[in-house]
Amino acid sequence: MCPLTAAPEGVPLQVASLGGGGSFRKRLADLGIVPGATITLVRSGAPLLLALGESRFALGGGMAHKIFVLPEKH
Amino acid sequence: MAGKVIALAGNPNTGKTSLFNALTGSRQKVGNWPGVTVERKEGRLTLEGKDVAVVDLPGIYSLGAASADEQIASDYLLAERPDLVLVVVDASNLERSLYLVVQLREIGLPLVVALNMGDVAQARGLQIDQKALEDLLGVTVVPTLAASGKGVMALKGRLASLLDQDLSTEFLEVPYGPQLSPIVDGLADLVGDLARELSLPPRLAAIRLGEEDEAALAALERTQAPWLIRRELDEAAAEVEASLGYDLQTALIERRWAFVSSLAARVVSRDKTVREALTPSDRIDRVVTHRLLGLPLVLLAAWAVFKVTFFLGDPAADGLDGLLSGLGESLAFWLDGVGASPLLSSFLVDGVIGGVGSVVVFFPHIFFLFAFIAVLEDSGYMARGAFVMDRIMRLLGLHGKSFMPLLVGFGCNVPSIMATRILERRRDRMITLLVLPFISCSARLPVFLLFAGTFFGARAGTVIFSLYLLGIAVAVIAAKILGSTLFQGESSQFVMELPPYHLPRPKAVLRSAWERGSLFLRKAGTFIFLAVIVVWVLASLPLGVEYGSAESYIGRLGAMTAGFFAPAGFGFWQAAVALLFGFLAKEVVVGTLGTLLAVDGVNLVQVLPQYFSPLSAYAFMVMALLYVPCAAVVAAFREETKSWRWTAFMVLYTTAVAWGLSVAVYQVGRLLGLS
Repeated sequence: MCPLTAAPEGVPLQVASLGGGGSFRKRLADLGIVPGATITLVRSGAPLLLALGESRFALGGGMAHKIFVLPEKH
Repeated sequence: MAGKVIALAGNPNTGKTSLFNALTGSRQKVGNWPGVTVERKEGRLTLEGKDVAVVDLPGIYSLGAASADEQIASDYLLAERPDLVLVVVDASNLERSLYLVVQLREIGLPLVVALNMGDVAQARGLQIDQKALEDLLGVTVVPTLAASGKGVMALKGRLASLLDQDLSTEFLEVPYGPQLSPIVDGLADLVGDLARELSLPPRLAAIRLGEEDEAALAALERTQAPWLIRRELDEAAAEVEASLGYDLQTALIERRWAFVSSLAARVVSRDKTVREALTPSDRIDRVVTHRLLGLPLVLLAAWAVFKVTFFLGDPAADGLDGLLSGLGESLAFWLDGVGASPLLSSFLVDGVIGGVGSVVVFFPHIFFLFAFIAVLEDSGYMARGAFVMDRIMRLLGLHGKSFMPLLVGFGCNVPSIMATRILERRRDRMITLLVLPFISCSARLPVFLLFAGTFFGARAGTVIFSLYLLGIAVAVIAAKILGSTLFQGESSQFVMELPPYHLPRPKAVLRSAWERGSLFLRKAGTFIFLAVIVVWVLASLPLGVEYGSAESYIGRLGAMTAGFFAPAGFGFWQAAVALLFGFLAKEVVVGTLGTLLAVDGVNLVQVLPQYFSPLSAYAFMVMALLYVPCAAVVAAFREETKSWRWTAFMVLYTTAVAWGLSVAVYQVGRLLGLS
């Protein structure tokens, strides 16, 4: 498990957990970034670019630090 | 049906604004400024001969209070309970859109779903089973193509028939699963008081508590024994945390998303042959957000917007200006012919026509600038530009999107003040607004050209460049200070959806440009016009004095304030009057100095050295660069902030900074032996 800031680009990742405070987690969760969701890092860095389903999101570095991901199991 | 209210809701970038325009046409009332802000837009729609109000809510992804937009939309939907909610849904990204639909159905709002952008969905090989969607959610679904107006007639028909019915409130039950359901039910038994307070069924009140909804938590404090429920909530949270590894709030939202995904899987079928690995948008993004190419591309786009705005705007503004001064001259000639008093003639020509002129000459630039901003926004590029610029702008304590208004500020501060509305967060917006006046607009250039040319000869270019740099440096430092004092808070931690690219629609672009341009004329125009009249009165009275002379009120005001400028090296009344006139427009400083100093046919360039040394000339330029921006900027600032207090603050602090720096330049210069 690693924070999104350290994850590789272009491979499917599974969200493992969210850190940070309640309103922060709610903001991400409402966008669909919940434990179990599959995301792909399109471009790493700060801010970074990620794909979630049909949507593309830009995310500030501070937020990306608090999203922990695992490589998706096949 | 008359007097009923339809609320228009939906995710950002789903074509909500297009649908709002298609439904209400020009019958719109903007309670505030329009555009990509949290202000409220209301339109009127005639259904079967009866008037219905349509309230356009800000684009949201969910009900909640995570941002100001969400707060406003949620409060409205929960508290005001509109008769019908029209939710715009992006057919090409149905799952994301459905989350909000499910939340709204969960709290029992009567919904009509406008299934928009079906053409894009089809191109991607997506088929949506409309009937299944209606049955699963208990809503009416109407396919629309809002951009071209297709399906809007059918939608109106459905809205009319639904508003005629008694829409009973049914609550959609979201299955929260074997782990959470017992917890929710257990809480529901305890929150009767809270449920009444929120006018929701107990189960929903319990869910909102579990989601740590701020309104629900606040309402809880108003009930009999909040501590009892808080304890229960803490126990439930600990239980969930132990079994799932994450908190109750996340667990509830995760279950709701799981439900949404299962719904989407049942209504969307995908034609596998059309499936592409990378969408065209992704391919463009590979280039546009590239680590090395991204920045030059943003600069190129911004530079192009800047250039073309002024390329098209300048001749149009000059044309308008010429037209109005021609009109003024003919009027003056005619008034002279019929023997009108010089005072009346001056009032009509210098005051009224001059006043109108100083308002309308901004219109072309505002119109073209907003047309280009609309192109960038509508095409989807603006979000990418902000993404690329964010890292740099964040170093300054600003948001990536602040870049655009700051750049435009070099042309004219007025449209750039208005352009700050692309910033959603108040903090980012206020800081940008407050530092913008330091960016040297093109109207300050004539002042620099005159003084630098007169006093610095071959080094004039370098001197002017140094003033531009000074303006940027002051803006950057001010942004840093404001960000760490008056506007503390997390700096530009953004989450932003990057919408798929599409071709901007000319109609939408022109509409947006016209809306913003005409609002400037109506709102800011009044204030600018008044400012011009006040200055005219001060320059013309008492009766019989020469316009703007030492005996006029403004001349006396200049004499009174001259001492204030003495430490900066230009403590004589003509300089003070020129700066006072500069409030109309900064280039007027040059014209005023010409009138007051270059008498008896002497050239201004020849007389200036009698009044200024190179050092005090530089101090004067620093003053002209930084002191209170022109009346049009102040008016635009007041319109954007809706606050006289912040406007007064801006006027005072820019002038204080200007005075401090020009005095510093003069005094330090003298200490160093410069003159």
